[in-house]
Amino acid sequence: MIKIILMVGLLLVNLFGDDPKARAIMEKVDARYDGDTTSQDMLMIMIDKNDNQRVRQIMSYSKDFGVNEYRIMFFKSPSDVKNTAFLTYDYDDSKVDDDQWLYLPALKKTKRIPSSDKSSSFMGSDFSYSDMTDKDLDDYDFELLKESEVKGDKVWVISSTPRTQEVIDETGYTKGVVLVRQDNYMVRRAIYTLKNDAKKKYLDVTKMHEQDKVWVVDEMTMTSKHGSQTTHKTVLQFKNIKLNKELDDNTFTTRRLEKGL
Amino acid sequence: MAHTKIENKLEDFGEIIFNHPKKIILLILLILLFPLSNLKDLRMDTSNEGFLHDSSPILKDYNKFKDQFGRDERAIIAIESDKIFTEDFLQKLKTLQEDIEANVPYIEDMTSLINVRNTHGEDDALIVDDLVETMPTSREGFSKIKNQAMKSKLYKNLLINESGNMTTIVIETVATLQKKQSDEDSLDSFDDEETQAKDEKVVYLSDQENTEFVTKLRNVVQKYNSDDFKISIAGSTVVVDALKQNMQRDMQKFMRITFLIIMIFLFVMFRRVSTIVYPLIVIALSLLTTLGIMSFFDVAFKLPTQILPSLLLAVSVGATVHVLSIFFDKFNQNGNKKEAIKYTLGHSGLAIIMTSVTTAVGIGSFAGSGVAPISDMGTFASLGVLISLILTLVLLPALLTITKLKAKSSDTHAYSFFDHKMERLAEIPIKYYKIIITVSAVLVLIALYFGSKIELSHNPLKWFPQADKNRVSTELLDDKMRGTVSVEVVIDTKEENGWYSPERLAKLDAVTSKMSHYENGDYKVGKIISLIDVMKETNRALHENKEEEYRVPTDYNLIAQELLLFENSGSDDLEDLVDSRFSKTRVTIKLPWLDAIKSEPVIRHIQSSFEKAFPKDEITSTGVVILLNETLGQSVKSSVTSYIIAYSAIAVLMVIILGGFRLGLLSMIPNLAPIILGLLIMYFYNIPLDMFTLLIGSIAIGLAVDDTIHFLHNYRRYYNKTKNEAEAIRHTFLTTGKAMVITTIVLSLGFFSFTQAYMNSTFNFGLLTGSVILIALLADLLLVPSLMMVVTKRGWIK
Repeated sequence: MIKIILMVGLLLVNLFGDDPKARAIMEKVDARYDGDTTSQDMLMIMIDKNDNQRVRQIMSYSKDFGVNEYRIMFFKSPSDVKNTAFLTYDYDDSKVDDDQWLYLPALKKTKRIPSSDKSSSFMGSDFSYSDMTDKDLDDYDFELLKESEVKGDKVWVISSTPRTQEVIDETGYTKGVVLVRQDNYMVRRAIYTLKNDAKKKYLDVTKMHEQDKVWVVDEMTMTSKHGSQTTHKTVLQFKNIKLNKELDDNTFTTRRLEKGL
Repeated sequence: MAHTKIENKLEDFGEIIFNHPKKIILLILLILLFPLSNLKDLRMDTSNEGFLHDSSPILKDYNKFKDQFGRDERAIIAIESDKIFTEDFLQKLKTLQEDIEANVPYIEDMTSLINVRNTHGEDDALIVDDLVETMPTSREGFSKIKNQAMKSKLYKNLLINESGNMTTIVIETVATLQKKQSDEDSLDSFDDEETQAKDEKVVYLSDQENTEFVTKLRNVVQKYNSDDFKISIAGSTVVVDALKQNMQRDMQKFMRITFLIIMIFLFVMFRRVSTIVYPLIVIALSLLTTLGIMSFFDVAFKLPTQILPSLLLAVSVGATVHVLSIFFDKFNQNGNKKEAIKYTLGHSGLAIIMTSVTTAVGIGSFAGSGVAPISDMGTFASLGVLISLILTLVLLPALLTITKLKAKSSDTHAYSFFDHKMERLAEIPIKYYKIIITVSAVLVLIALYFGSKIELSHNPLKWFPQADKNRVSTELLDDKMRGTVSVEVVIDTKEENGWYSPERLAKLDAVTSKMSHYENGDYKVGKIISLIDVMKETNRALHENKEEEYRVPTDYNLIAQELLLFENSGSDDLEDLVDSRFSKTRVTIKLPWLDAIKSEPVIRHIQSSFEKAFPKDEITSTGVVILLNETLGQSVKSSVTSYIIAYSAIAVLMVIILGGFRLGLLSMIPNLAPIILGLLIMYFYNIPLDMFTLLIGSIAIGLAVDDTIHFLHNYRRYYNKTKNEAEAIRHTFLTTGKAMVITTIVLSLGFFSFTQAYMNSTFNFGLLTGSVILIALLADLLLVPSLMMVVTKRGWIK
């Protein structure tokens, strides 16, 4: 009798709770080595529903500081925001708010922008801050839904459910489904459901390659949809990707931010 | 000549019906099966959009706006309290907001003092967060919040009133409805995106969803109402829903009353079960068939269409009574049913056809109206009248044929009193015809004088009784927060980053600050929300909260950079104000909910101010205020056209029916006079000319001429027999006169049943139409014979 109860109990945990196999996969995704430093040119193409495009060119440097990651970005174009720069300290501990500074060349001032809200748009694009930073796996329950294929690559289809309302409020997502490539543990696609559950965001990592034994993304698109209607989308293209290039710690300071490229 | 030919044909038709009654009944039921089967899909729609045709350019502008910026109609929860900035209050407000968020569907965005954007600078930081990011723990904390809230130009009259004792939760509902996609579908949709049709039909949030939203919102909110948390709900989404609820209730009430009146009347007149049941079958079938056809064409029931069922009921009863009364008169004489049916169709078939056609023309003249529900009513009510005509002439005789009937000797006793009265009444126009004509002429002139002073109006809010909670709440908010509706202006520069331009922003700042002081009678601009607010508060926050920096920067690059900063700072408010290319911007001008007639100058002022300031850019004004104004304009325009069509078409019909040009035109006088006298009633009861009362002119004429046709038809017959005006009048009074009096009273009672309505608009419509029809009866009994006394001598009657 006790055995049966235990078995049913286990089954329930598997049905509604966390799935160890899925978690193991996600841990590998999280732990995947992506270089200690990265420098790259980023092209941000924002496309509205009438196919109007806005293009921004950004130079981006990032470096791991232990478990934390620091990143600095300089706008190269359009000319009206040229030399505007962002500095972000992304802390691994989800309980600590990230630090952000913005330098406005027209004002010659650096401002700190404290924000606990990661659901907001990253530079007006369809990507949010939470899309651009690593997630804390402890915040989610994972479940392996099935195995599938994307354009010939085998993937695991894993759902992620936030464990607390805080996580939902912070990321803006009530649910996620992630497609992870089985050969390299790269996220290939993902669908995030927003609080208004007719609204979803679709991440499609369309180009990636291996360089110095590290997989890097060349192009990815985030599409915001309301039902089946595309409302807006953003394409991010990465060029001149350099991994593990020596980057001085002083690169990630507000002084450097003001100095410009 | 032509008349007798038709009458003979109708008699033959009566014989066919008598010979094959069952086949005919079966055939009719088979034909009706299809429209009836559509009944269950009948929709209701009381939205402000619903008043306009889908093809209306004003509605198209409005929908384009909704596509870009979302719905402008809001639900506003206003809370009155003297302790707004205390822990108890704010905590309760927060709980309420969370409760709404969790339990009310279709919400796009919800703003209150708790989560409103608060842009401020602190030391080296620029912070864009919620006003109550965390609940303070000290008194100082709360007074700091109070300070910020009361000082803010953005919150004033939006979230907090000037005296600080009313705050609001503003709820924006989703503009379009999109089906949730399952995860499976979502996964599949990655690859088929390219092939996906872009022109997939956009489904706007409809009336049904709006009702679901409002109902659930009310359910949640009512639990929180208390003395120091006094809640009112307003906003056009809520008003629109209340219109619908009341309309449904009213409509059912009218139907019950009208049915009851008809049943009592039929029983008193004929005292037979079959004479109650059969007309009701005919009337109910006409009504249901008409509604079924409406539903088949996906025409929703809207506010003005609500009068259609009772209108049809009242109108169809007249024709059935004529058929029944002639049938039983004849049948009771000799008990020969076949003869009676043939005689009935031959004798009164033509008159019934003519009167139904004039009624259909009167109502049908609205079919071309620019107000969608008015045009629907014109089309379907006149169709309904014709369906009822066919059923009365075909189904009713067939039903009588298959029923076992016993001839009764006619009950002379009941009628003798009535006959006596009619006899005496007939003497009045014979003796005093000159006085009657003079008095009528004077009355018409007086009515025209006062009628010219009646004001036009379109204000769905005033359709509610004065004490209605929706009306009270809206008026309270209009008073304390300076408005519940808005004009939305979109300025399209047609160039990318057009709104980075310091010149444009400076102009926008100038125009909006000047406009915020605009007043025109009762109209005061309550508040203007635009990109300027974001620019100014960001600039101030970047400059250590210095009040003198609450301004728009003058450097192009700085504007671009500040906007980039704002985009990155955690607020998504920008997408409500500009498109993603910064080529268009939206300016919201909050106004009180007032009569559309008063909004005309305000709308013109707004449009021309922006056109003057931005001559090269495209300016589109839209929003609920514009929709209501357009509805008024269209209803006035279309009623003028409708009157011209109805009056000329009916005049032509009268010329044909009465067989004389002069007589036909003359017969219009006693029919127009009652409508003009109706204006007098409107003036003294302070009833405005609105969408409903404007209908009366055409509906009443179509109904009123019926009696004139009956009267003149018979008068001519008796005059040709007796060659004496007075004798002809007396005869007419005793025969057709009686039927006229009875059917008209029933008809007017049908309209007077609308006075049981909760809504003022429907009450006014019923009172006026009922009165006009009674006045028209008086005109037919007094003025028509008086006129006959004058013109017959001159040889007008041939």
